[in-house]
Amino acid sequence: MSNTSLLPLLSSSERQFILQGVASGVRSDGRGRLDARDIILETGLLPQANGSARVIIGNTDILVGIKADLGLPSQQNPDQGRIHCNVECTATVTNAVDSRDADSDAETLGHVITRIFVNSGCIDLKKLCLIPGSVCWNFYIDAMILGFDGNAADAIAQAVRAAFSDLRIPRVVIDTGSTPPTVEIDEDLRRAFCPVDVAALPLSMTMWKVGMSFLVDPTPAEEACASGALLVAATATGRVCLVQTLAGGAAQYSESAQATALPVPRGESTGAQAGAPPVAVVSAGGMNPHSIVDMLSTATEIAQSVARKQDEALRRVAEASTRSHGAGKSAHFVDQSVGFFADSFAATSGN
Amino acid sequence: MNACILVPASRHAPLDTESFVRATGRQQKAQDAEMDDTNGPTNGPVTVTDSQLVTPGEVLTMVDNRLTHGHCTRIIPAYELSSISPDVLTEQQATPELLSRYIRSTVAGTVSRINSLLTVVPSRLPRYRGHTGDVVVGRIIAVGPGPRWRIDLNARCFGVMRLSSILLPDGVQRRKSQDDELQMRTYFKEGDLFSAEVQSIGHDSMISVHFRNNKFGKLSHGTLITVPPHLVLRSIQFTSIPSVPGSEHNSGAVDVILSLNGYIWVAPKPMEAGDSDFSPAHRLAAARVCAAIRALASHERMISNQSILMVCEASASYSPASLSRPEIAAKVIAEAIR
Repeated sequence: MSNTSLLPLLSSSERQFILQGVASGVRSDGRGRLDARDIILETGLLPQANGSARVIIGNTDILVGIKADLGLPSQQNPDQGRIHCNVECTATVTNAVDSRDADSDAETLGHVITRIFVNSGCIDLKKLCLIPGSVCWNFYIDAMILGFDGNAADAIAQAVRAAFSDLRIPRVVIDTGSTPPTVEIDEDLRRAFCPVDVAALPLSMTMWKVGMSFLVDPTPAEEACASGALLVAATATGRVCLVQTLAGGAAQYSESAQATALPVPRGESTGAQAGAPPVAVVSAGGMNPHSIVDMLSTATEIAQSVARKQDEALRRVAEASTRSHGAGKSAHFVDQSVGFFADSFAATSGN
Repeated sequence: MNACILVPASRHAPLDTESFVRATGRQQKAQDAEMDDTNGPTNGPVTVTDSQLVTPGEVLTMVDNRLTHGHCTRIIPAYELSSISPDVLTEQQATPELLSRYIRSTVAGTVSRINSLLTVVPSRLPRYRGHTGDVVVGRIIAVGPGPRWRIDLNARCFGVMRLSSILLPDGVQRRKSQDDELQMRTYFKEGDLFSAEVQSIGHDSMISVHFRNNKFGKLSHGTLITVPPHLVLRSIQFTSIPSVPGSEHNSGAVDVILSLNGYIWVAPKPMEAGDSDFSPAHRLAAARVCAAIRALASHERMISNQSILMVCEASASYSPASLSRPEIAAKVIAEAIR
């Protein structure tokens, strides 16, 4: 397991009880294998951030803030803006004596979020560059794990996507006449805009292999029993942005002898590296490649459907805020929580 | 006689200046009235009564040399709670009200006063404190060092279970030998759950447990739920629900250990001893009990055999999984109370 310190210690009989329950289709909390828990979504919570969102799944509680800042583009990509992702755990998330383990878990999750949102190319970084080589937008995505009750990666992806929908950056006036060119920020926040096409952003869905079957949205005890997990990030239109294994370490791309290149179920695929085979999946924790194909297609479908549901929820939040206080970003989203239930997806699962 | 004057609670910190001055002004008057009383309080000007319920931030009294403030109280100068920064306090603003210092409660709880020591006893504890004779459920954290296990009891520190205070699998109480010490991991290994009774609490608040009879021992095939320890009702701890209301008829019994440290164990009762295969209906019945306990805990209701049954009954029209949704849980709890 990658995030061992966040997970509970289990006895072998508890483990057996969970495995048998998953096999018989009734999990310890009464859910079926593909039943997800309610997702509660709030946006616009942090007045200091340019965009923020909070996602609550069970007791998993994620707060994400995106801060925009003008800065230097990187030397490798002088014509692109930069996005930095950072995930942190609050000290009370785990009662582990040593919180360093939790920090390393958070770091792993930070890499996953970077892959989903930045490396997948879903955000046009070129649009964030103002003056090539000298000024660009820097986005700092900071996710805080306030509570952990399983399924942290998917919850963080949910929160980051919602925070992007809430993101507003001020307009800038570029004066190319002067040398060097200068950038002037329009202080009027009513003209602030969202530079990111949220509809094109992916959501992740992780399929966990527990025993011989897969499940979604695990509890910490189920995560502790999982022998492998496959994270699929897909957009509402079905474009697969990332496939990676979670449990058993960080991403393992076609390094292992068991690696199998798979055709992506539908839609086009964009790997992180151009020219690489679309997706290469490593057989993790004894999953056979055929079951991975099943998981992949199921997960893609679920991710797609959840992305659509989130779009709908975000629209409802935005509408409610427009009705009550006029357009624009402010803290009055706070009370507008929209719950949506990813209820028993009629997925063509290979289970 | 102790003059007891109820002070208007200034519950929400930080306060805006206006309402703060209003509150403290009233407080000042109350204080003056007390001081004027020539028969006077003999124990100092405490403005809250003993065992009065207070909320975080509530004023207990003015700072007084005759008083010591203890646990869960703090001296907070008035300006710290106002919107005025002390650096920009003009002479006009620096009124006695704003500069006065109060002892405030930092938790919700009851006031306790022993001579000149003023403390607040928190009414809810996130951690179990331990009482000799309590039935608890714990988890083995480590084997050893020496003939003992280190155990997690949801307490402030890990507890201890001595090899000499357990019953061996054959159920006999006998003197444990060196061989037994070498075999400790075969009895209990890391991660194992057990139920036991609190034997004693050490001077460093370390709890040690023992098995008093064969009711206690290793737990298998079930689910552990963690709830705040203060919510578990002190009554019969080992309970069994023969048929869970709201679940399928004849689905099977569910055993519940309402452990006083907040680790509640819910396990479907095997049809035959040693059987670990449970029907989906039986599992769903156990899941309903789990959901009922979680719903009770999330609404700060006492957890007992009775209250679990009532919630299960009220939840009959919902699936166990849907009870995790806050609005359904609220509805079911309201129904159960009625």
